[in-house]
Amino acid sequence: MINSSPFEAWDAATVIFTFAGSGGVHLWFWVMCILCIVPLFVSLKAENAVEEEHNGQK
Amino acid sequence: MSPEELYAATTRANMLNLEVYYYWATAIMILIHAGFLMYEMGASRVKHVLASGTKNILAFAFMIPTFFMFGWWIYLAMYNGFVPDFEAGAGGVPWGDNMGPNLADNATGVFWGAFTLFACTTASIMSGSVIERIRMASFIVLAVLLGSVVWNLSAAWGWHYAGWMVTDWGYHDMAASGVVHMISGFFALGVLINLGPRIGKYNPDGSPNHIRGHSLPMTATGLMLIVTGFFGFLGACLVFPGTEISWSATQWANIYGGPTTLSAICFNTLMAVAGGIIGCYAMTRDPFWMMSGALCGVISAAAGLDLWYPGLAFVVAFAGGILGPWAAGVLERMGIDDAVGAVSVHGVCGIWGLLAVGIFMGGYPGPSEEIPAISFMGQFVGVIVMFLLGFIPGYVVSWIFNKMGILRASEPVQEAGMDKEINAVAYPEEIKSMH
Repeated sequence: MINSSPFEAWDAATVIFTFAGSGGVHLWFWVMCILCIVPLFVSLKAENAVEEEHNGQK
Repeated sequence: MSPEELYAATTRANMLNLEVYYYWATAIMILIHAGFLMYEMGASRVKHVLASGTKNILAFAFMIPTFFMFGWWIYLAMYNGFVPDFEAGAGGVPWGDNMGPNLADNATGVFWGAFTLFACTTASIMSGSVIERIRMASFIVLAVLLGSVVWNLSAAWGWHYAGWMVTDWGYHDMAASGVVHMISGFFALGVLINLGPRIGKYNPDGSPNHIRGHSLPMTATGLMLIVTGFFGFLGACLVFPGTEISWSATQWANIYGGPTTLSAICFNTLMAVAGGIIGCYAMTRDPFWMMSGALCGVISAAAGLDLWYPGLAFVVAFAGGILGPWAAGVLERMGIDDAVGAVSVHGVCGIWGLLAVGIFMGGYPGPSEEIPAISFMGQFVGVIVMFLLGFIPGYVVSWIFNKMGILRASEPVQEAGMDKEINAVAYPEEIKSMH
């Protein structure tokens, strides 16, 4: 499928993580950032719903 | 085998031993978080238990990626103050070669892991004090700010061989009385001022009520887990010998490069745990405070764990065991509702820990020409810096959240129980809420 290997042979390989040295690392880094931020808004929305429910606004 | 080959083989073996050492120290440190989880859930009333537990676990979970994103880089780059050294920080850039599986680097991952667990501990200290009324999203952001930004700055300044507090003042804080405990304790104070007390904590005349948690046995067991985890935490404060990145070929060193031993940490940690427990018991004869006394003791002795005479470590810890509950009473009378005493146990005992080093260890030489000798003034400056660095961000950001109306749950939600926030019930069948 997706060839993410940064090397072609194990001899003398050092950096072995997926997408090392390519733009893929930046892509997955920013995806990770987004996946940390979105749940905060999900949580905030759920908290606001509970607040409204218990304050008689719903 | 030539001497050069023997040296290379020995150094390589030591590097693998270093990797093993910090890997397992990190694993043991997770017990601190497990302990805080039990401690905070036990200190919560039934209707709030799972919300307290969920916040604690989410603090742990959010700390890890955020420490990867920017926490480690801040520690490496910001030792001069607020102006980063980009060259020094290069090893912590999250898309760099060191920040992932790398056959030429056995150290970065385990160092990053240990520091991440230090960050988790720092954030956990705050989480207990704010239980039963803080809202989830705001709490998570505050925890990330504390664990992945503020603690890293404090560590870069005072827990780094090139940190300006170390090189300018000879600041000595071997096991983080200031850089972890003061920071988190006074960050929590800043948040608590804006958050306000739990409903029912204070009477109309201002007198405080004691709000009992639902399970003191759970809290006491959690505290014992924290003590166990501290052995990983304190062991990881040392630098392993005999590698290319070690301070010494033959001896352990503290983070500043000063020689010490793992035995020193063993002597003084155990004595501090005992001194704190006994001191707190003598002061309060209260099971909750008796167990919190273990923390008071370790935190009071932490800054000098590498150098104390064990008997003196016991005395310093005993004094911390008296100071902690006394400070908690003062704060309570001032209207600060700190549910688990984090400000007093971590913040106030942290101050005592730093000053005790200044009082008893003045004149110990610095480990290199760049680092001055330990002095009372150096430790006092450390107290001021750690107080401000902890308190100001906690106060300012929680003030903003309070103005936005997202910091504190409303009274009806608190009355119904914070577990409503996560739509969960801790004990559905057997145990009734006290309210």
